[in-house]
Amino acid sequence: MTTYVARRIVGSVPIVIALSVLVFSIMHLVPGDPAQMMLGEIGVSAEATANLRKQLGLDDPIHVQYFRFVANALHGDFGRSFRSSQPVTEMLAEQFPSTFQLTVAGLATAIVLGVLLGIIAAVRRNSLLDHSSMLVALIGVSMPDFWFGLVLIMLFSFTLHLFPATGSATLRHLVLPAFALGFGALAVVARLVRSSVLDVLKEDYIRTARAKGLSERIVIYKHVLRNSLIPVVTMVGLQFGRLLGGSVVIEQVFTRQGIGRLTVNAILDKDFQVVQGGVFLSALIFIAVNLLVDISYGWLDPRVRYE
Amino acid sequence: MSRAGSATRMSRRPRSPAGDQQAIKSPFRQAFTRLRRNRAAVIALFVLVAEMVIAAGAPLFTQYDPVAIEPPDSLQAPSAKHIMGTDQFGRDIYARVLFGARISLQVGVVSVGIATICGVPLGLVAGYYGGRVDSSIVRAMDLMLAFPGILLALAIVTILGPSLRNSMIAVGISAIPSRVRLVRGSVLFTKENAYVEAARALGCSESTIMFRHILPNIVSPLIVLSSLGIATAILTAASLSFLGLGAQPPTPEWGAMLGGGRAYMGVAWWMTTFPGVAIMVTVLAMNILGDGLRDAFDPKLGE
Repeated sequence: MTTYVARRIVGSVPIVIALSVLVFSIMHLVPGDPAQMMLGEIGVSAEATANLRKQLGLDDPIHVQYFRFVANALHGDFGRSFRSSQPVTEMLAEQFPSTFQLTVAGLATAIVLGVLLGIIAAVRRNSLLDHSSMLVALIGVSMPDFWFGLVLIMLFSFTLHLFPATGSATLRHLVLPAFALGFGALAVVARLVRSSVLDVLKEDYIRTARAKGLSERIVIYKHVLRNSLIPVVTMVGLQFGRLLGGSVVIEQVFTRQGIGRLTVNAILDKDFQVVQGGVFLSALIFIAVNLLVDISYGWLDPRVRYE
Repeated sequence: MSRAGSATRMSRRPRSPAGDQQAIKSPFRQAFTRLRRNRAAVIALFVLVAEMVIAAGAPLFTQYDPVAIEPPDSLQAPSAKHIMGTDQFGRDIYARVLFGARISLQVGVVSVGIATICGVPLGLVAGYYGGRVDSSIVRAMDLMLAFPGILLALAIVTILGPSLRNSMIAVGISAIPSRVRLVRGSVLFTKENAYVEAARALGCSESTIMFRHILPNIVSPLIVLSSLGIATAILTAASLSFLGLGAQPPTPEWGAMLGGGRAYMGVAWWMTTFPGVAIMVTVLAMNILGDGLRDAFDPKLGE
């Protein structure tokens, strides 16, 4: 197991290195001189710009700049925002808990409701309940999450006054965004659980369980459910990434603070130092989660370790 | 395409006993027959064709200009005059939704086109040659997949600058890895066939083998992936426009319309309702058609 974990960790190192090159190049691929951008558009003397370029090391060869970027990143330093001059790392640290809370809540919503819907649909196969829950699932896959968020606000905030429309102060503020974010993933989970439960129901050991006189409830909860959830576990990593990406849009819909909102506003503001930090952090979290999922396969299914 | 060609030739064979007719139908015609029996997919196809007609002839279906500003008519609720109401500039929402269909369908097709044109050759080369070429292409794709969801598209838009055209490029590029994976996987499987060996023995060039002998086998999964891909592309591009990073005002793009309507949600529900319904109907139809095509091409999967 230890070798397997070590191999997986080493395997993701090249990805992280390539990611750092990509993120580093954002600053150098956008049109315009970073020093000029930092000083703003207003008439600044050429001398001041040149001084700043020297100070920032922008005249150094590109590889020197890259290694400096990496060295700083390893120290957790992503420079300062062009706009507020606040350290980017500090800004990210302020926003991170909010995004994390939203993503986890969205994922929990998706898994709990999705598994429930999937089981009901499979157990009552071809009933009205099955068809309607699968329709809900199909709508969930096709509904733009940001529009679903807007619909929830119109319904639950403006009409029914049940939940606040914007902000992130309390847990009540989390309900609508988490549901809006999780709905698409809920649909995917429900469809997967349904087909997986149907597969498991065909297994011999289910016939055996029924033959020995177990109640249907015990068959479903103890025999079917456990076995049909394995593919769901494998999907959690993928869905986590999807939700992390989705939070970018959902944060904007609900004017909720977070990494996504910070990044989008930075793109619109041309505050590229912040964009670099936001993109790097999000991708890094995603890589780490996938690594954990990979490791958990090895733990759940020992065969994987010897691939 | 050579597969479809040879299949037509097959079906034109001299008529033998009627029972043989079924057996010699080309896979594409068999798939089409199965698709026709799938009621949901037929409805979805009908919806999409209708939408294409509406998009092509948008000016015929409305008297209003989608971008002309009419301040006295601003924020009017749906009425006989404006069936979907007007926005804060007095523009007719119905006209904007109609013209928006043009943009969304175009975005879907162009993005998937970019992904296919770049992804298919890369997947072919990776799967066919294997070795170092393969591993470097796979690594590059893994890197692109290291970005969660919309983030890769965001990074690309950051570099290119926000606009409708750039959002199509960004969405297209971020869809490349899934094409490469699909094609590469199919090539690895297909290249073991005896006819590939035979083509090589006959002295066919490598590009002939890849494009004429291997590629036709991948056409049906590629069609399925493309129809589902168009749905995803429309959604992602609409998200980018909603964020202000895609289509710029006053372009009548559905995502951008939702972004603009957000500020007026409390007073003008119609601004955020109709463009959203339009996106959902299009994407839903595309997904149902894609599912139908998958079941039609591979009936075993449907069970």
